[in-house]
Amino acid sequence: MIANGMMHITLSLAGHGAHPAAWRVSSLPRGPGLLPDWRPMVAMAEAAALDAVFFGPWPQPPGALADHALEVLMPDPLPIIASLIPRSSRIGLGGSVYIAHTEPFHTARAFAVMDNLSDGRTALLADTQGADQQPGDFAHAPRPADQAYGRAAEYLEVVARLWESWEADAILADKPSGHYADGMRVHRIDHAGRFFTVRGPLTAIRPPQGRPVLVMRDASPAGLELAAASAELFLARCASLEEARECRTALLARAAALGRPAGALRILMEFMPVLAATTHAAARRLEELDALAEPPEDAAPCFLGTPADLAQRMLAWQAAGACDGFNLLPALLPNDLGLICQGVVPALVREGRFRAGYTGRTLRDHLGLPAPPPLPRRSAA
Amino acid sequence: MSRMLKLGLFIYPGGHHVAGWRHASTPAHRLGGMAYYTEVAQLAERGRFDLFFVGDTLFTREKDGRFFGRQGISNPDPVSLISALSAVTEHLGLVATLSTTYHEPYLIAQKFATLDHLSGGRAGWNVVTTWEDRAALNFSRDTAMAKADRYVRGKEFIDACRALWDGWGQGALLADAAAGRHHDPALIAAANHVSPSFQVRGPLRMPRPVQGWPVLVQAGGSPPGRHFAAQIAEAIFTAQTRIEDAQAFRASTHALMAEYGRAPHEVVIMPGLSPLLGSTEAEAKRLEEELADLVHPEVGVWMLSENLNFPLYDRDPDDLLPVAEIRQARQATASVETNLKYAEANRQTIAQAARVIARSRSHNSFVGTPEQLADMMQHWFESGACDGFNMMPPYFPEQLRVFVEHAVPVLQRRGLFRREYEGRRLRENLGLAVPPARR
Ligand SMILES: Cc1cc2nc3c(=O)[nH]c(=O)nc-3n(C[C@H](O)[C@H](O)[C@H](O)COP(=O)(O)O)c2cc1C
Repeated sequence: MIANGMMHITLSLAGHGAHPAAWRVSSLPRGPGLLPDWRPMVAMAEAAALDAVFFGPWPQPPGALADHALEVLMPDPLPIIASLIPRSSRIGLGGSVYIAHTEPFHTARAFAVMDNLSDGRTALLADTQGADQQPGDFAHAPRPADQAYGRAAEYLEVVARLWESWEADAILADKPSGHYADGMRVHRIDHAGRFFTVRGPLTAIRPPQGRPVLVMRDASPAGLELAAASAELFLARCASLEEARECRTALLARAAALGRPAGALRILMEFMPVLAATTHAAARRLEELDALAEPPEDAAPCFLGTPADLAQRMLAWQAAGACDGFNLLPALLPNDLGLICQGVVPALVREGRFRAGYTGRTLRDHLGLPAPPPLPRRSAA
Repeated sequence: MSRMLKLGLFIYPGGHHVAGWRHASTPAHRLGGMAYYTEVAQLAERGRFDLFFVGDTLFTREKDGRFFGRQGISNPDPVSLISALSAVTEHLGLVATLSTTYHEPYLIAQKFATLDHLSGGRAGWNVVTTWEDRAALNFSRDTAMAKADRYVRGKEFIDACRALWDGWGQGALLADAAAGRHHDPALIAAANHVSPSFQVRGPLRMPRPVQGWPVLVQAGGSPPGRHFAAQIAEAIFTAQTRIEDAQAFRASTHALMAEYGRAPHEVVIMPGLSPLLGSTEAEAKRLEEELADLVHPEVGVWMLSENLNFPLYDRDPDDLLPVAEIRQARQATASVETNLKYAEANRQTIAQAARVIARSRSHNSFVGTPEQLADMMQHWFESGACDGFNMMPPYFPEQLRVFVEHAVPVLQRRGLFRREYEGRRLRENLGLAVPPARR
């Protein structure tokens, strides 16, 4: 059961909305280049005190570029979330990274720096699937699953060790004595594993959150095993309350078996809301969108109804122990996001199940997630 | 219009002087935070700088295998920082350093395409092959690649990125909602890059960058590095301390470019320049002494040991610099040999040599008034030594503020520097053409 009864709400933003036809009807303006301007969306989410917004990954069917009707753009999520840092002050910002084709040192540094620039508001979405990859773009062919997930687990351990290579109080900035940092509190990691050899320390100071929040969504058996071992948020897609409860129970049991404390892993259910003032009107909206483009089979389950209906659904699922909260994928921007923030969230606040305003500073504060215990140090230096 | 100076701001947390972070005006506790970088970038934009430039550090400064805490912090992750700054500036070019040795082209082409769209055409990429050999230890390798190999890989990396950026024709993004045509597949082609280092198919799933490509910057100094720059660079950063050397560097760069079929107007050459400004010459000199006194003796010995690639930590600082021993231990590079000869001729102790090295920078430094600085810059510019400067204030933000408020207006009055930006794109301000679309 949920201890304090409060739920968590995050958003995944992509293109002009999660529905493949969104770009045809959206009024979202462009930024200074050819990408949509998501800044007003993030401002709206922050005004509703949502926990975080996530960018990427954006899975697309192979050969999507050949279809002129699909919104195929796939920007790098990291510059996007970095550019949102000065345009927001409280909301969490998450971006996905391809684990298979990047180096843990780069990932650790980028998030350490963004976490410092944002005063502790970042989350790393570890993309272990790369569903949006095209064959032939990378040096490595896809690895067999045991290797891919073994490498991913080691990658994330190296990232965590690099974040912890600077102790919290290592920065002295003591002008009189001329000590900028205490060299005794900055450590090599001397990692030598099956896939990586990384000496450290990181060339960036410790993230204010200790470790930026680690998010996963890979629901394959190996993906779930990795999530049980190290994810702090898991984004799941389940068709029914029963399925969701089973999924959550199994994942939490596995996490406990691996020795993780209760409350270290939170599970958010994903929906693509299509909202309107009446259920009938919402159904009409979805019909109109579907007539322009059919969502792919593996899309997030659609929720169709009024904002009050969605709030009821969320309250019921959370009360039944099906999840700790929700990751919503607005079908159309800004419309569905507006209805979430102005309709759904106030209803949840009235029920006392969602915050009326931020009480904490960091994303960990919002999520009520303590930083994981530090990894034992291996190196003398 | 007459030729105008181009100005880059080379950021370094705290400042470019080794003791800059200790200056009374430097907010030493805030060097990792958004407010500090926002203040610096907005100051640079107020001073009509062409670009803001962030270097890349992939290995921490160390002494005897342990982090050396008397130094300030490293550069922040360049792409993260300039992405964040794109939201608080409107005209300033934003140049991130990124290594071709420790990445793969597909994701980097995607990264810079994203950045160029987010910033409305203000992105630049300082293409490096990573000189710090020790960085290899953070990337599962024992040693760095040999320099010549690094630059071969670098060239292939850039070829792959350009092929990816050029994969989308101009106007391939239709966004025609009424007709349901998001993009024109006929204007999008695979990159099909094949080289000894990479095979990249593509296409990228991002439209061609606003500027065609981000502005490509390079700073190679060795023969392979300079050939690489002659082929790809649109702006060149370089360390030159004497005007004759800078003139020769610029002329030989143009000559090298001609070998690759490129013209002088296709590049902007910007030597580094670190000015310490005072309202009078005497005040500037006093500031110089003040900064020199802030260099802790250990920092001097550390810099000397790093420079000579020879550890001097356990020695008595009042001993003579062990020149013969150092020569025996290492094959000295040309610049090290110059330092050794000087120390020998002047019978320098370790402490004395350390004090000298802590003052000197490999880049050109200047101490004086804004008027005097403007004279120097004008002289270099008009005598063909450069197209502009990469400014390296010894401490931020105070010395940058003095430069912007007192030196920039002098350059503007003399007609040497813009009063308003030419445009919003970095290429427009630098006077560089947009590379033609291939389809
Ligand atoms: C102003 C300036 C900034 C530089 N910044 C970096 C950097 O951030 N990262 C890096 O690896 N090298 C950097 N370099 C080094 C150059 O890329 C180059 O490696 C160096 O000048 C030596 O040339 P070479 O590689 O041809 O030997 C910089 C050089 C200059 C002049």
